[in-house]
Amino acid sequence: MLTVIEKVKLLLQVDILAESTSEELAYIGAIAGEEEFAPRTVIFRAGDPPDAMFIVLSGRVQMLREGSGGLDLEAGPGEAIGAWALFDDQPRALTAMTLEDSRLLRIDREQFFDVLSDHVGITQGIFKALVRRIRTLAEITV
Amino acid sequence: MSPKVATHGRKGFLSALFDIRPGETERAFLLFANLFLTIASFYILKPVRSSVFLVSFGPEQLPYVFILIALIGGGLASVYSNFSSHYPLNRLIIASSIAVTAILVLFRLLLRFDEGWVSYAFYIFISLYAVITTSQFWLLANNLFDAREARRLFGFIGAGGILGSIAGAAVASTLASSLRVENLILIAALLIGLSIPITARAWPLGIRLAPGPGSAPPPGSSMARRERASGMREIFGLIRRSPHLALLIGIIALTVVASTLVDYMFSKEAYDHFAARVAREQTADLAAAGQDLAPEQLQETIDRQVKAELTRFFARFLGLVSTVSLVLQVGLAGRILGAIGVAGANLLMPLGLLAAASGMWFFPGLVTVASARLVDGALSYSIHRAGTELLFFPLPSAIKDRTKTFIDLFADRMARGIAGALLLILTGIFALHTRGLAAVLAVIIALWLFLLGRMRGEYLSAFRRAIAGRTLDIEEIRNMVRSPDAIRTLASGLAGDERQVAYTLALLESADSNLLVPHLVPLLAHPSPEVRRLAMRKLAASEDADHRGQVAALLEDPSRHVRREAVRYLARTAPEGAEGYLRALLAAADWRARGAALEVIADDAQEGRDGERLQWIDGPLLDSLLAVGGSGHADACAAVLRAIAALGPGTPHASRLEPLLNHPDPTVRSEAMAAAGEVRDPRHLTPLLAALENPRERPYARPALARYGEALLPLLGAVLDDETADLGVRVQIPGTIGLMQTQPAVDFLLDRLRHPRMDIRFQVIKALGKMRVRDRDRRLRFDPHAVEARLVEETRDYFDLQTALAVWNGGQRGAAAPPGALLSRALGERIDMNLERIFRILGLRYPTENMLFAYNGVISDRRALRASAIEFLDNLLSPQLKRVILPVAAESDPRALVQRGRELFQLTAREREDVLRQVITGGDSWLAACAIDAVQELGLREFDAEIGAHHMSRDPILRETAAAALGSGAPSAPR
Repeated sequence: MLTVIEKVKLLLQVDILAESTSEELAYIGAIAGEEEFAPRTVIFRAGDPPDAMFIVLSGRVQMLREGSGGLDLEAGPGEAIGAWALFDDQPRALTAMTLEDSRLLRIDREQFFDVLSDHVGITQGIFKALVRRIRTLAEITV
Repeated sequence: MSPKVATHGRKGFLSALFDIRPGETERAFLLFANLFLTIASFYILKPVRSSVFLVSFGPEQLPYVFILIALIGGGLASVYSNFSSHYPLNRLIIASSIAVTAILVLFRLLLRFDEGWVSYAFYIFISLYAVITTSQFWLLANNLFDAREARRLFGFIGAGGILGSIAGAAVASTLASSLRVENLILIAALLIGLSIPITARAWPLGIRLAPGPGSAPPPGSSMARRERASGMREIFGLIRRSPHLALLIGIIALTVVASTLVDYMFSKEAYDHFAARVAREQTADLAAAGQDLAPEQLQETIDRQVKAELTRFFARFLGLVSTVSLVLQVGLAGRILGAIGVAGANLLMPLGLLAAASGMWFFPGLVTVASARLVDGALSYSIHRAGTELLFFPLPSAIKDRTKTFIDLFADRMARGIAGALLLILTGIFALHTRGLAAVLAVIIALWLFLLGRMRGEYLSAFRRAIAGRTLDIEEIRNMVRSPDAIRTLASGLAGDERQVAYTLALLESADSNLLVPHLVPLLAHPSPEVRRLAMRKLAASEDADHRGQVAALLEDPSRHVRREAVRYLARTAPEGAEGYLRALLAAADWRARGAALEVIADDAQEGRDGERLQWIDGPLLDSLLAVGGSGHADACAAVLRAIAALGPGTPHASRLEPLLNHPDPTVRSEAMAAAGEVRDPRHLTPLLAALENPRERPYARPALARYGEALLPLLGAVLDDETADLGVRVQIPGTIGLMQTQPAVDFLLDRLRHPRMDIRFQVIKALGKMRVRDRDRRLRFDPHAVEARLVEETRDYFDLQTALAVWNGGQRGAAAPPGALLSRALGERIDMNLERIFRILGLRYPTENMLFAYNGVISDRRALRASAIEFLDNLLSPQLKRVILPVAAESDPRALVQRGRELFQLTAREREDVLRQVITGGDSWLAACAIDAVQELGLREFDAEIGAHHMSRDPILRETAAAALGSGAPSAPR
């Protein structure tokens, strides 16, 4: 079982949360729960409502795009899955399935928003991360 | 009366007259003096410039100089932009003023030698320096005042310019005869020289951080040229697409051409008149005295005399123009605009000039030409300018700004150049004199009037488009909706969808309601409740009484806000009088009518009207409304709560409020909290304090608690300091106290600046900062000793954290994610937060907005912005604060910071183990948890005792981390 401090170290690697302070991430760490999955287990399917984001603690997770039939992405330890789903009401675009025994950290969307409403600093951090990302995209485009 | 008292009294009078508030007096008076000197010097130099040139070359050369000014002005603008991007504004203004003073002295010396080019250069220099100096002055003013202050004070500061123009003209006309005309240049140089120390004194009083070179390309760079070129392409594209814009620029260009023609004719007639008169008088005087002078000597005497006469005449004339312009601007412009509208205001100048041109045709001479120049000079900066500004209104702000820049940089100069070329042709090739030029002027005015005629239709269309697109600035437009003409134009926007109608009604907020009645009545049946409410409110505010039938139907409107406004109208127009009507309505069978009447009575009482009507409110009435069920329940409760709020403290109905504070409907709860703030019953404190924890209810609970006032401070203080109380509630207490906006609240919060909890301390600083920003009249006193003492403490903490971080990082260089990286990050974050607190506290001692600019500069990655921030702080801070704060802003090297910490606070650099021990045993729970985690990662065992002390910590994360480090594996608990 991970402590909140250990969860914070993982959350710091999530792109969209990277601008929040470590103390603020502890509030998210406190609502993050661990889940274990057997190999070839579907974590979520494309078209499912976005209800949570995940961080891979151990194992490997395959991300598949419906219809294309091929492997799109693979996430390993420390990598986040479905982070943008926290902010998007659109159904999931990809299906996530474990490739081996895997342990994931799950952050529930509803609880996440409760934390945001209490800790405005996290929202500011997310905005900063979004701005940084947009600026990077703009620089690449230009 | 002692002199001191007398001075104080005068200051009080001026402050009251011009609404100069404490903290603004010095800045306002310095700028007033600066503008006075700047304009006075110009009004001395302007007549000298004209007379020196005319005597040297005669009026025939004026067209050439007009063209040269247009051409050189473009180059100078570019060179000046280059300078302005490389140097701070204060240095640029001071350097320009020194240069202008020196150049004027040089011109005075060169004018002794009677070289023709000197008069040319002098004319061009004076024409251009005036533009640059004035624009520099307003840049300085914008730097010293924010937009809110500017709106109040620029009128007062501008008065300095008007007085300067009158004084400068008076000096020139008085001294032109007794001094040599050229010596007036030295007086003007002296006045400009006097403005230098004023600029130097004023600058630090409100200095802002100029954006660094990174924010925009230097104007002279290739990127800037590309941007300017693309900007020009864009503006030409806009002009092609917008008939309104094309007409506007055409009108402005024709105004400039006409004005230049009048200026030429005026100079020529004045020169011809005085040259002839002086020659006649000199010859007569010599003949009478029986003297005979050599022709060169005679010419020199005549020239000197003509210069003096012309200077005196031009100066007196400029003084007259300034005075008439002032009278028009201050006394008549608003009334004339209100009476004749935009179209009429724009017709005044061309019609005035046309009348003057007719006069010049029939009676060519100085009097008629001077009358044209008077019309031009007096109207240009008063009614005509206001009328032209109004023509810009329908344009969206972005286009408006770009168009104005285009006109300043390009169209105005080009029109002057064209006017110069036209004059060359008319006077050189066609040899036209005043009568011929008056005819040409009449043709130009005819074209001008034609464009104005076209503009009228286009202006209305542009207005309609702007209303449809909601691009009008409500604050700007409110000042102009006084004439029926403007109201009719705006009312065309009342035919659209909900947003457009609501927007148009907002634009018409300050318009006379009576003029709007025909437009409002159809809106009472609009499908949107918001439109019905706005229309009903405006109708209720009018004197109309002819639509009672339609309005009575609205008593059954689904919206309680519409019903309330309907009751206002019906009460005002009731044959039995408002009192009888409202009383009868309170007994109506329909609860909606009772509720609406109750709300009107309550609202009126809260606004200080007819408070005695509150006596009509009784328990059965309130209970009858509270008993309303179904979809109307929330509305009925809201009416009851409004009434209880109006009844205020001590009302016997306060007990009805208690259950509503816990009502399941959030709108009822919010109204109940607002009412609780008015009633201020101790029984309601517990639910209000509990609501602080809920982010959705907090916005209502905080002001309600603040309304209890200072009597609540001991209780709020007890909650704030109670370690066992909910932290979510405690951190809301400082902001709640801040809303009281009283001196005891300030003193209470200043005392809590030393609160041991960093998060609470931060909230205290924030609350104090907001109080200071809201305190526009500077009534509150933020004890400088308490503020500076806290600043020193915070700065000490800053260096302590920097020392700890430097020591901690010093032992782990090279690894990508070394053990203890989280502690390193957390220390860095604490340093950032500490820096923010330091600048927020500085904002309690110095202008808050400036400290925000300084903070943004200090944390910026841009070197130039950071350097500006450091220079700014260097100028502003007291020596004692400078000593400790400047290193915070200036140093970024960890070793230098450790060294500074040692010098300033005797902080010693320790070993890494010392840092761990200090952090684990310190009061910061999060840092302690990170340090314990670092101990665990490093496998250290010598801290078990210190970690063990946190095994029973109230902070769940610290407790969990300590347990994990000690190997007991306590279960995690949500924070």
